Amino acid sequence: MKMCKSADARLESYIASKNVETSFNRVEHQKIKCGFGQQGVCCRLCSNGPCRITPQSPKGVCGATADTIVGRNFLRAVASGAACYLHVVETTARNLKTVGERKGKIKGESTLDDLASLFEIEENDIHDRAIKVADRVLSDLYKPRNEKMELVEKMAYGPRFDKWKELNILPGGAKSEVFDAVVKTSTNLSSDPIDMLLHSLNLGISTGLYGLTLTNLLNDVMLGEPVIRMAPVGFKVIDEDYINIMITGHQHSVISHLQDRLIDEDIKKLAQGVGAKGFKLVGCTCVGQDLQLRGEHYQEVFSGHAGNNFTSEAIISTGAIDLIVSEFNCTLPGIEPIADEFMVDMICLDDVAKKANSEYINFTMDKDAEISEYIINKGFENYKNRRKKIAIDIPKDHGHDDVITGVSEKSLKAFLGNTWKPLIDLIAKGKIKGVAGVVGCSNLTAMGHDVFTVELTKELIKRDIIVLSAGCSSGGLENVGLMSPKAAEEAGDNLKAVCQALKIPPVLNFGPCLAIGRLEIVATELAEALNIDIPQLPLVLSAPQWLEEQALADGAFGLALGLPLHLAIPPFITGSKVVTETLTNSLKDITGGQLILEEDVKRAADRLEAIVLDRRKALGLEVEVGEIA
Amino acid sequence: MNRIKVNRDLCMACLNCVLGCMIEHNEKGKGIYDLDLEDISNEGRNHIGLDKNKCPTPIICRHCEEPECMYTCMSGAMTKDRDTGMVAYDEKKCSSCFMCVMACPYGVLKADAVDRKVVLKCNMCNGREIPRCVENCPTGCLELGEEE
Amino acid sequence: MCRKLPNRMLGVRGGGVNMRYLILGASAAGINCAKTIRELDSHGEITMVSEDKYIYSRCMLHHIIGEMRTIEEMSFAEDKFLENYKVNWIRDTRVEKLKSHDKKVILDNGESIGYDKLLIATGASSFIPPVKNLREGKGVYGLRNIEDALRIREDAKKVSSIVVLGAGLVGIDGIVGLLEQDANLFLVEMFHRILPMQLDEVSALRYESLFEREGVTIYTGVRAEEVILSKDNRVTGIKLGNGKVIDCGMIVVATGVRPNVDFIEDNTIRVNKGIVINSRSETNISDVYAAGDVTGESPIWPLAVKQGITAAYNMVGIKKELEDSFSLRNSMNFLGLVTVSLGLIEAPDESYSISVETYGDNYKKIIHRDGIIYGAIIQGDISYCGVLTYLIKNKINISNIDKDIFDIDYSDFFSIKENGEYEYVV
Repeated sequence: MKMCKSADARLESYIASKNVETSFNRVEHQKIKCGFGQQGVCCRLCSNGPCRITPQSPKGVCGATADTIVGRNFLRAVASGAACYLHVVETTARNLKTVGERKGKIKGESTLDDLASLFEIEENDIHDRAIKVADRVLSDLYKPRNEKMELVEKMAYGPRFDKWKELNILPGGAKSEVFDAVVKTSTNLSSDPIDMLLHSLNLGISTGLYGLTLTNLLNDVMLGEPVIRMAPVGFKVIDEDYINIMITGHQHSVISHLQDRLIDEDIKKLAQGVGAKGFKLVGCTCVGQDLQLRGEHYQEVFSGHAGNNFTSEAIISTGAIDLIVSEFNCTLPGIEPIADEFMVDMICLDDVAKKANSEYINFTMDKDAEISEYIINKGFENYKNRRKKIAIDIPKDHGHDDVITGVSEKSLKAFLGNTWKPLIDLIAKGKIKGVAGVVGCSNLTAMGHDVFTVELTKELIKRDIIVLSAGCSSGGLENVGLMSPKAAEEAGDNLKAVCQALKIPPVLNFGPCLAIGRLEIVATELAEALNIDIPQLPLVLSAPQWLEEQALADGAFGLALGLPLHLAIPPFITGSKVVTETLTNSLKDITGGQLILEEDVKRAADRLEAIVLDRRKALGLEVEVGEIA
Repeated sequence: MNRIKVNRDLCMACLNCVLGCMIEHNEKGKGIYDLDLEDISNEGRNHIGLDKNKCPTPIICRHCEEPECMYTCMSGAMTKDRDTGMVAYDEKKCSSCFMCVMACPYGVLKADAVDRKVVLKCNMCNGREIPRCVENCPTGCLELGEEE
Repeated sequence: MCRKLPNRMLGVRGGGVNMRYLILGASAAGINCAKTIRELDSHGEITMVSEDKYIYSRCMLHHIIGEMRTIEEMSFAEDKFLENYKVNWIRDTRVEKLKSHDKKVILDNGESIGYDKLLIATGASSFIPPVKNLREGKGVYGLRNIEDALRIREDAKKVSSIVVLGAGLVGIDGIVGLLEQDANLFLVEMFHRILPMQLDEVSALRYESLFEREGVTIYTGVRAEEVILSKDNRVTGIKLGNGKVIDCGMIVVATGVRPNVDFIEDNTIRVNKGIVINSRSETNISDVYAAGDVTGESPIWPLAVKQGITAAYNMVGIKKELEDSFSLRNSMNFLGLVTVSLGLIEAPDESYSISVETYGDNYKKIIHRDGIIYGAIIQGDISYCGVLTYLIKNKINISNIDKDIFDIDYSDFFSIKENGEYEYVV
């Protein structure tokens, strides 16, 4: 079978060795793209359509121009992406509320206290505190559109909040904002591309502050705070001696009961009864990355993170997975036939991720114990039935044992001595030229699986720009070794010296895409420490291999924060001059952010570096002679 | 000769052959993102017709054995290369009389929309291994076939 | 390049001696005949004799008058045509006599050339009508040859006003070329509109106003009555049938052509309006063929080309009939306005239907009856209109196509031949 490249050579050779069709193969048969779709100028909002913009037909039947069509398509995509993350934070807040109500275990008390004090909640009882924190989040999400969300001002960096207020993009109730974005982009409603772009930024703010940041923090309360530690990654983490449950999704709290229950003695005994050593959770997709991030608390049950979204199909084909539990994306439809072939049952805990062949159990926190029993039993039965019939083939030479994980805004600051000063000093002295967040997904189209992400990261660290990663990008970067301390060798001399002194890799692993919110906290705190606004920082973002609508909502937050954001594949906007010009240029004078579309690795690195150098210069920091042309 | 084969039953009127043609002949670059879809100077040298049953039909130069466009050309701009079979158009020789447009029995040709000076005529992508319209066709409706 | 043909088909003379092809004329018919002969017979000797000193397109003479092209740029033959196709060209030479019984021609330099197969493609010459003083006047030019165009170009610089007699395609070409010069221009047409053979009232009027906007004064529906000459016979003006006198220093006559047949001996080749040929381009004398304007048929380029090619096939011994002699078709592009005219331009009587579509700069008219299209004028956007040409030429019945008549296109007749070419399925 023809297949695309991966930055991960061993993964590529493993997939090539299996006679199992995966996304890697299918992408070869989806190479011919529709140019109208690529440029975002196909409209099928009504039965007069689909209309497509060409030089010979510059308007849709209704009169919609390329600008209108692109604006609508873009806002719809951002609204969908925002909806996804808002669903995640809603589930998370509801779960926290239940934990509080039933006086369950609070693993991250200090984060709870931080949130309570930020929200000005005075409540002595820890569980009541949790309930109130959760309620404050939920009540914001459920507000109507004409009531501004209250936590925005508390969460956001002051100068940014003021800017958003000035631009009139402070969000009302987040779900209502999504709702009206859908209305706005329906048939013969808004035709104003600028209004729709501003609405996208508004949704970006809800996405960033609630969908990302608050999800992380509420999870920290329930699941434990990240601690920096070394961990193994890759297919080698899969241990066939255990009953293995692969999890896919983004909503870690949904498996909070399960992950603790799996290591109870009675359950271990159960497993041992059929010849297994116990149960393990095999990390895959962002929820795996989230488990890895909090790995300190899950050393026994978590076998390690095997790979990102597009490795899920290959992970099943090892034969060592006995059950798949999914609660959100990225649960690829492509895993269905592979799961069937390898006799792996699928259980879905949230119908937004319902797979055609999965069994759906409506998860609610109050039924978590019951659901865990069911899952455990299913895993047990599957193991018993399938192991004799299925050959196991785990590439044990895939992955690394020394990946530095558990990096968060808090753990990193703690590592630096509870102050950002050492990092700021390194930046000021030019030992670290700047900071780049290389984040987001993996796709198979920007040069291949993780190829652009890995190549761009290498280019950036070579130029002494430290890279922070969150999302499937980190899954790719850790599997190729760039998140191991030895990767310091690949960095430029200055950054290399820093890494070697601190025994850190030049690429820091913040975990799941949700943790893009953590990167943005780091940015905010750095700006705060320097007493400047975010757009002045020598800090850039790239989501080179963005995949899905969520990434666009994340990106909208980055742009609202005033950060430069690079994408290797344009987000279906280039058909509109107004939208493209606004996002790539005029936005600099609006929020300070800018979209950078660049399909070439080296040129992308050049442009990002140039911004870093410009910012350094503006801050009066040392810039090596000849660095700015 | 190599002739672009058309299997009409597979055409879905997606227009990606037309886009491919515009991309390949775009002076600003050869990628989809180089193509300005609002710039009237970008035109396909092929098009999709709809028959009376709304059935889409790719109309693409056949590089005919007996090319009417060449017979009617009084400037010498249209020539058929007997080795490659291609009917080539030299816009420098063309005197913009458009007899070829009038003569092509299949209605493949038209004048450019901006200046009405040159004829939009397939050149098989100037020796490109696979013509862009064929490469861009998602259904297999267009194929490059070798003919005796 | 050459198709391999068995010798017997090539009519090779005894002893393996090559065929001798002689072509008189080096324009559309002659050149295409020579080219086709060579593609069919790689060994034959091809000799071409022409009065023309250059190979050039007669349809582009306005490019010379307007100084838009050089003589070299007027060529419609490919570079190195003579070399590539091994053609022996005797240029700037008139044929004095055709001795068809002896299968030879006598040239004006006294030489004689024998042939096995002869094509007469000597074209036509401008016809100067019998208007008083017109034939005598100095400064009166036809517009047929490149020499005419060169002379007009030079003289145009010396006079302040020029009259073009005849507003057919040649006359209008003349005007278009002369617009690039400085003289005042007057166009005189007997009929009540310009381009009367090609255009109807609506489409002609649009050109008239375009030319008027360019400063051309147009008189339609009037004849030239008398040319006014100076003592030394130079043109100084022209008097029209309506009494109007136009002062002018030059007159370009574009009122028709007559075939060049003066070298043909009486009672040999049959000449009517021109040399009479059949659908194989054969004359009544064996081994003598004719093609192009010398036949007196419609003087359009594609017909000359096809007659020349048809002659070539038959001259090398491959029977070929010209099926497509449809000649009521023309395209024109003056002052940026493009028009295609096909078949009838007006409905002959009320039994015909006329469909008209106008939008922006576009005017489209189709004349049809009982599902057959008899004529059309397409002005402005002529995209893909070759389909109409085919439908008119072949009298295709479109009554079963339930579609706006202006939307009918090739997709309604789509079919693919085995070799990938399109064909019509009706």
